[in-house]
Amino acid sequence: MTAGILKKNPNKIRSSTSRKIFLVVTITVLCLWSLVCILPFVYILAVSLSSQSAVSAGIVSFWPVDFTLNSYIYLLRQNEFFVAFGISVARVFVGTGINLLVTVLAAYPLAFARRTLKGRKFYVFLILLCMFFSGGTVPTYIMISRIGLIDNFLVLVLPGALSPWNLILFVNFFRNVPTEMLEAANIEGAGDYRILWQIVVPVSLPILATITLLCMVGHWNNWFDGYLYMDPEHWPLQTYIYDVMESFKKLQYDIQHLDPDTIEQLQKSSDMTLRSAQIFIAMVPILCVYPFMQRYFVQGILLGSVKE
Amino acid sequence: MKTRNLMKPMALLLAVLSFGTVAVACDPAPLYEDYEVVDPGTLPENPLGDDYDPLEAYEDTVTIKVLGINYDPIGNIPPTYNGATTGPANNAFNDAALRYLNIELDYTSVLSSGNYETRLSMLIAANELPDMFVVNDATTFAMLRDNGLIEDLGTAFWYLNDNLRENFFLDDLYYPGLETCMREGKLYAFPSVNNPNESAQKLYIRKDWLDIVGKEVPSTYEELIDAARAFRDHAEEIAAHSQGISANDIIPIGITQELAAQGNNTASGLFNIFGTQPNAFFEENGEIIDANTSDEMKEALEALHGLYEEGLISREFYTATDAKVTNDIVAGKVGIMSGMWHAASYPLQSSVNNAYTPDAEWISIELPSRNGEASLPVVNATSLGSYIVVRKGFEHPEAAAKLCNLFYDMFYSDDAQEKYGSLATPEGGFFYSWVPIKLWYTPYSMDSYYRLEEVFEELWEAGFRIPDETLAAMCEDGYDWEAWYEEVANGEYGDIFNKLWTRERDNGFKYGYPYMQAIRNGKGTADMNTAEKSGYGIYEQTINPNGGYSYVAELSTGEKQGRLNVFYGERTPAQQVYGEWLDSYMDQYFLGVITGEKSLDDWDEFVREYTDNGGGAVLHQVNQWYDARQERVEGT
Amino acid sequence: MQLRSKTKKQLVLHSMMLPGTILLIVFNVFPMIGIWMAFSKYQPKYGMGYFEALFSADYVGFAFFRQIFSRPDFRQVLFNTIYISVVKLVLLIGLGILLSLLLNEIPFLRLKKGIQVIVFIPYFLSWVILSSIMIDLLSLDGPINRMIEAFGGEPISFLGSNTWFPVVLFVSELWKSLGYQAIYFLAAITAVSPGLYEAAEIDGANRVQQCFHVTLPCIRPIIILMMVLNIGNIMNAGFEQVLALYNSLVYESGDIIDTMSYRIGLLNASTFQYSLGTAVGLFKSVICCVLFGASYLFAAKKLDYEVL
Repeated sequence: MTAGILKKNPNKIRSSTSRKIFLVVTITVLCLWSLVCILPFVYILAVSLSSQSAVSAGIVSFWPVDFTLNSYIYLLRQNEFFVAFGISVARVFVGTGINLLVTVLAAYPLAFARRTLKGRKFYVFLILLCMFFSGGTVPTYIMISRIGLIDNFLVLVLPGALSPWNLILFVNFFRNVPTEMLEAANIEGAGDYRILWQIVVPVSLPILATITLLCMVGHWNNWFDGYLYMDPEHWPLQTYIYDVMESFKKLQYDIQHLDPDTIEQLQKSSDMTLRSAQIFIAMVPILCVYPFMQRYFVQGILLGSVKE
Repeated sequence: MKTRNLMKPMALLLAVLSFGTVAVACDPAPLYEDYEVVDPGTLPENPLGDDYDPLEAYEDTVTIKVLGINYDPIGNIPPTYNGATTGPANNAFNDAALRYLNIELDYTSVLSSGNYETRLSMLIAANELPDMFVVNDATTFAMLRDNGLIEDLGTAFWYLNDNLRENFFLDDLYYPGLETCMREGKLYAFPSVNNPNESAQKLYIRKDWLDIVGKEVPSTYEELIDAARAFRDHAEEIAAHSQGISANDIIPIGITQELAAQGNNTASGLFNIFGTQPNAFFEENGEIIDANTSDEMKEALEALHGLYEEGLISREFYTATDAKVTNDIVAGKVGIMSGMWHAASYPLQSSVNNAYTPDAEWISIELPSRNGEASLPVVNATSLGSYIVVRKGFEHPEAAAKLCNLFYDMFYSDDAQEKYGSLATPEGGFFYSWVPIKLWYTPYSMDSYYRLEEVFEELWEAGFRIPDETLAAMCEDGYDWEAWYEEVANGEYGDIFNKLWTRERDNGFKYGYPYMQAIRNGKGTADMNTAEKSGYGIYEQTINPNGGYSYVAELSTGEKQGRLNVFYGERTPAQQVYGEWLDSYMDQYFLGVITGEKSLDDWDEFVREYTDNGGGAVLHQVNQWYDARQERVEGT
Repeated sequence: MQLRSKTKKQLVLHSMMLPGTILLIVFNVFPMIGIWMAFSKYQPKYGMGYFEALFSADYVGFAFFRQIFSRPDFRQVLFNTIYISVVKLVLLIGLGILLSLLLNEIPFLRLKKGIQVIVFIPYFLSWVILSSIMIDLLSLDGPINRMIEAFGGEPISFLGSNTWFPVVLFVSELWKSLGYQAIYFLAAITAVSPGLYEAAEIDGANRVQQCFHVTLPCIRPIIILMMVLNIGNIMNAGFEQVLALYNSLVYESGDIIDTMSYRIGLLNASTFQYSLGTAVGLFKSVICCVLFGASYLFAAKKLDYEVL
């Protein structure tokens, strides 16, 4: 229901001049800021559509020079790119699903059974411990390798499934759910799982949508775990893109045995237009998620009062 | 949770923390152990006798766990093999190993060159080593060796074929590399050694720019700077010859932010003109000195500051990465760059190819003399690329040698095609980057240089010319080069042509000859077609008698001199502890001096600070290392 | 009966905590045994498993910490780390609130949504990708300096001056993460009951007063929460960002703990990742933990807000 916001301003017609000025200034400022935010995006698009010579001469700004679709045509032929793309998509869906499930489940007892949950201190300690301390890359790798998750899709979605940060956010938002609703349900004899799914989750849609979005973005953007735990043929997209840049640096140090093949590789991987096309394609799908999620941001008004 | 309950753990934590601080502050132990130089010893006698077969197959199949490295994630080079895209785990070499050596290569992981180091260090930490693998840095190698994780290859060494083995004993260039891998008579790795002279710097200059400003090719430092000034002053005219750039973009001398680097586009050539190189160790009167605190360095910095003030190097070179300078070179913004023998192939070939700079023509010169004295390029005492090691406890360490032999046979030998059929050709699925265990035959580059030069000269003398129609056809995609080789090989000049090794046809002849022909016919780059232009890099680096490799060859044979950076091998303990701080302190100060942010008046203070905080300890240990080495060399 | 249902309720609650707890223990707590590496000279040894090698390694006490602490530039680096991240924190939260409030004032729903999406875009670009764009943008003859010159100013070398480099870090971080940060506050604002505004309006409050007396108090919990959580993250001043933008000239003002240890790691290859890297990580964790604890207590005692 979008009316909630609009309702706040029912007497728009009568709004004063000062408010008009305020609105004009606000909108101008925000639009300028938006412009600043979108320019690099436009730049990358323009580069991806320009010729390589024009790009290295540095004359491409926000409009393609020597318009060409070559980079995209080349990319479309790249099998690896699409495999990586598919893995990223799978990872976003599976990973976000697991994130939400685990986090919501754990947040419920912490938020609603503050007094009754036995061993709550242990859980809080555990969560805070994990928030601050980590064994480091090597021990984590060893653990993951011992349970056989190296080069396994699960390694992308399981280790970070419960983020203490998100859990704390959930707990804090859940605490604002009016207790009367829960008590009423309790009296009706509903179990905790039912209360969670049928009452708590529906009234927490804004935070759910927010965390969903952030989890999706997190999964989409994360390149490091792929780099560390996965073999190249199973890399998610961002790892793939990152590696193209890294390998380029490495190649240069490896040119003792230079021959036409290597040179061709070097020329290809230093190709900014190709790189930009990759970056651009990699950004589009996750950007499309945002407006979709946005619908839910506004729907949480059902929630009623926010308690202090 | 109640606030009160938190007080206790917090207090505890604070107590631990303060205790820790005190403990840290009071701990007097030194940060590194005393440095002991261990004697490498000598290799064991050859246990095999003379008549062994380097390619003898095993009776029972030996399975070797290896790591594959996928060198090219963008990947358009390799053809298909067995109907699927080739990769480390699917290519002809694997089948050849099984068929000819009865060795089955089992790829536990296929990595990329980008994440190889990270993954390998994880595998080492987890003690999940593959049977054979390649280590790319000396510190990791030393750690593996010291913890008994890798096998002695002393016997396996003798399984290498004669060429690969003797390679190490050819002269002083390669033996130190082998010695680095030895300790008390045990050999812990097959080192992949490169010709150390390959790091020697040359300067590359835009010939067409020199013509525009009316300057001769410089031979002294003063002339060089003069040319650079002319580039700056005539930026307007110069820029007019390229599309897309303006006078503001012209950078007379292109260097990157990495002062200590010795690759392409670096300031290395400029430092070398002043007889120095950041982070190098030179020998003077039997003692090692640290170049970073030497007087030559001070002089070089002063000169570089002058160049910066005059606007001859980019005002913001300190933000310029290698990729950025490369890009500037390709775009036609840079007039002078310093680089190694292969700089012509990359990045300069891209500059020549660039449609926006049709006139781009580069000429290479040796470091110009200064004050009437010749400038010596700084060369390393040895150049170690990587180490092939075998996991401790692996039953067949000699299999590493056999794989190296097989690679040598398939890659270098001239009868490879007769012996291995299509398995040894790219079309048949053979791609050198994917061979997991291999040694390059180092002298090949030099041999090949001499051979190409000779064959090209003979062909030219004999009157071999490529007709214009053929040249035009070569510009087309999918030109059948094989057919052309065939034609030449069976034609009038076949006898001369066939002196080339098979792979030299692709690597040298393919583009090199068309370019040479164009040059000798007096064509400028601007008039050449794409096929001819594509030969610039190959010609300049390996065929031109004044080009890249000829310089390396002359340095190697002693016709030309370099200045030796004597220290090599694993880093000393003090370097491991202080190295990074020393590097960043040096970098800050040097960059500061060049840009004028810091002053050379503080030079003495810099030297003191540098020496007191680890520089002195490092130098001491390097001297220890050097003395031990000298003793050994004189002893034998 | 009573007792059994209580036990059952406990069981249900614990069953909700179970998946998260298992994941945390397996992937976070268990590897923490590896923290011992910070105090011992861990190296893998032939014929020994990981644990055996770990606990038979020579105990070196605080030697690895001393190696870091005894660097002449350590204080500077520590100061930079904290300074950069504190300023970022204040700016991000302050302006994040402002942005979400301003967005909330816009009566045109489509415009509002559009801006919301657009300001989020920069968050998708990784610093690796942005670095070359930023360097061009900020160069002496880049667009920003051209603008400064047009207004009669002297060009500024943003990336080579120790005065300006932190500013570059702050502004670019704002540009990149503001939209992201604002999402949290937007989620909280949309959860504010419209009834409260109506009540305020009836009391004659104007927009500004509504903002101060309704919106801000309502989102106070999330503001405090963000503060506390971010303080717990204070030793992470933005590794990828600094790495992408800095150069040796600005080490004095821009070098942070993570970039420093990254460089040490580059030089000492895999040996670094074991002990020294763990020591650096532990040092950061302890500092964060103490600061988080302090802010947690402060929030609980003075602001009457319990984070967990």
